[in-house]
Amino acid sequence: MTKLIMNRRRFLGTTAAGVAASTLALPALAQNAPVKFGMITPLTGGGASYGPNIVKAAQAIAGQINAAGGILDGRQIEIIAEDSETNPTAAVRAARKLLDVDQVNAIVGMWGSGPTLAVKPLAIEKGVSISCLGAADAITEGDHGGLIWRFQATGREWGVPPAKAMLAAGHKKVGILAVQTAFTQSMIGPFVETIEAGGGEVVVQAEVKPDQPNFRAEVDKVMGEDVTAVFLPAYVTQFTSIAKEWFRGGYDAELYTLTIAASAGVNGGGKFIEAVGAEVGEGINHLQATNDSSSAAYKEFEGLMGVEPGTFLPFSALCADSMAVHVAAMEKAGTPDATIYTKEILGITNAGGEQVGGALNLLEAIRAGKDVDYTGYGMDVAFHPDGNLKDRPFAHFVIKDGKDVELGTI
Amino acid sequence: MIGYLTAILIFVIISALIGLALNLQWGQAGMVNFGIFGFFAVAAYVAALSAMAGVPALVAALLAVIATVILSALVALVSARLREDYLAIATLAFAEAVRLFLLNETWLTGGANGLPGIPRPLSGVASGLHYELMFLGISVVVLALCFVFAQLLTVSPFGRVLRALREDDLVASTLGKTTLSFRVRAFAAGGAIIGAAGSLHSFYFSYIDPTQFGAFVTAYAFMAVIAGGRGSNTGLLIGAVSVMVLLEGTRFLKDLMPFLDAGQAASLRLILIGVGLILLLIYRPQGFMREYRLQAKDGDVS
Repeated sequence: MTKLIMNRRRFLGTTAAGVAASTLALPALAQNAPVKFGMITPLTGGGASYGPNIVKAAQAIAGQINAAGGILDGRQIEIIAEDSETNPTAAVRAARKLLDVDQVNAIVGMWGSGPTLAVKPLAIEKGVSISCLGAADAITEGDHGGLIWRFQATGREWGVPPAKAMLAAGHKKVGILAVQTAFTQSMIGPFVETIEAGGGEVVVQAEVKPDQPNFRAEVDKVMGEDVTAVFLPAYVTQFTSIAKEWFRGGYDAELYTLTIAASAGVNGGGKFIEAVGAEVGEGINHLQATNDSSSAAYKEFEGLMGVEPGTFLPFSALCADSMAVHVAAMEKAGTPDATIYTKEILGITNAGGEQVGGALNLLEAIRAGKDVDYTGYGMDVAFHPDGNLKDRPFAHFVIKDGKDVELGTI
Repeated sequence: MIGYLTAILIFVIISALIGLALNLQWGQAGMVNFGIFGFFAVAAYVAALSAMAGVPALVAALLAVIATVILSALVALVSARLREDYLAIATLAFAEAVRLFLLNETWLTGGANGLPGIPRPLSGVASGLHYELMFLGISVVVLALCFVFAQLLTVSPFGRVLRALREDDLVASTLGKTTLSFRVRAFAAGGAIIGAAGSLHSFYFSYIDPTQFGAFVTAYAFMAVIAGGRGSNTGLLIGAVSVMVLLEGTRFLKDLMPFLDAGQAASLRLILIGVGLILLLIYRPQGFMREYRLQAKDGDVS
């Protein structure tokens, strides 16, 4: 009669066999392992008014694709969102966790120039792609092996259209009140050049820190000069305070800013107008790259985000586009390896194939082996080989009765 | 996972260095330095700019140390008559001045865009995880040197005078100690350690910008010193580790709660960090360790 005795040797033997068996089973598991997308977005700190919707957009796209059966033969998409705290140091810690512990295949929704520049070398070293929403020129400079894709206009693109809009409206003496961030700083040079080339003059230029409690001194300084219009590159948090100071002072100079700061939304549902009210918002000009809110793809996006039609969602449509493009490129390349699939991105966004909008449509067209030209949720997405978005026309809005009215494109 | 732990250990070492400096300046000498992030920024920028100008990393780090030593001594000199809250305000003002300088002198510091592409020391020797481990090794050596330096100061007669000054500078000066000289030297010694921390930060991140040097650096340093036990260098090390465990551990707790949306999870994480600190202050207000005290040997009592 044999007894089942578990002695040390037998224990070690069984354990070793078990370990060996599980190692053998690993490749089989990997086939169905989820494809991981990391996110480093500001959920707290200065950028916190944008981050949650950026994450929601990526999750909505992932949810839609997962419900339709996933990608790469049934693999699900997993979104792991980390908080950048709007700070490069915290972003680097978050990136380390995403790259080393979660081992993500791509980072999307990387918001802010400072955090992006800090995370860039880590991602390149690991061969992981970054889709960023930062404007500083340095982000795409240097050899990044095709891993960095900027789903956002560069500083140069942001700076020129407001200047043109001001000149077209007959403003010759203008001022600048800029918030000191890498994003806004990069658009001042091109803005000044355009004004001067058009026969105008930048009479006064002042800067504020993003975390200042109050902007009264700077607003009074700029508005006190002989100017008819002032350009205010800022985010919504600062612009809200600046606009209140401008209204309080009763100044005549017109305000020009970015749509991400001052959007009222076509239905008056923008964060800015909710904070300041229609009276303060009246007559404020704002510009951004054209975002065709009447397109079927954008309407689908609004549905996914669960918002009223005509709501302006800063950055999130761009993040949704980055998800769609990356997922499609993975599908086309047959791998989530960023060093390989990113080579497919230009072919999906730029080539003159069938125009497709929306993540699911794009995936379907890719699976059908069609030549596609992705048009995106909000705008037509097309890239330069260095990872920068191609120039697009800017739309010029003015706030009337608490709602955005489009004046035209520039 | 090893890569992540290596990176976190390097962050712990950098914050432990800042904590060591604060422990010397505030923990022992009683000089409240709220402007520690300004000195840290100066060190990081000096190291970065020198390295980018082609100066070898070790020399760049030395320059950073020299710069912070001189600046610290100067700040201590001009604030000679300030104590407690007033010194805190003066040092904070200094740090804000540094931050404004970094933001506005674009020709030198790159302004808000910062300085990308800082060359990392010995980057040709190893790559990937091996480089990270090597950098960790270098950081451990730097921390060990600074720890020994701080510990020697603590147990020396110099450290004893600092603690006497902290308790009552009138008594110390009545006993013939020149208060100003001791305070300046204590501040400068702390500055030297911050110089080392700033250089490590620059070389490890290879990108610096003014937003990396905010008041939160000071806050974390005070958290580490208070958690460790004011005045104790060994306790400081434990304090720096606990602060990082709190900051990073909450990241994983958050992953266990998929029912929260991203914004809620991020806020919950910050709440947990706050709760952790409050619990620490309730249950261990004196910190983990007691400060060094010279004790009479048995039979040495007269």
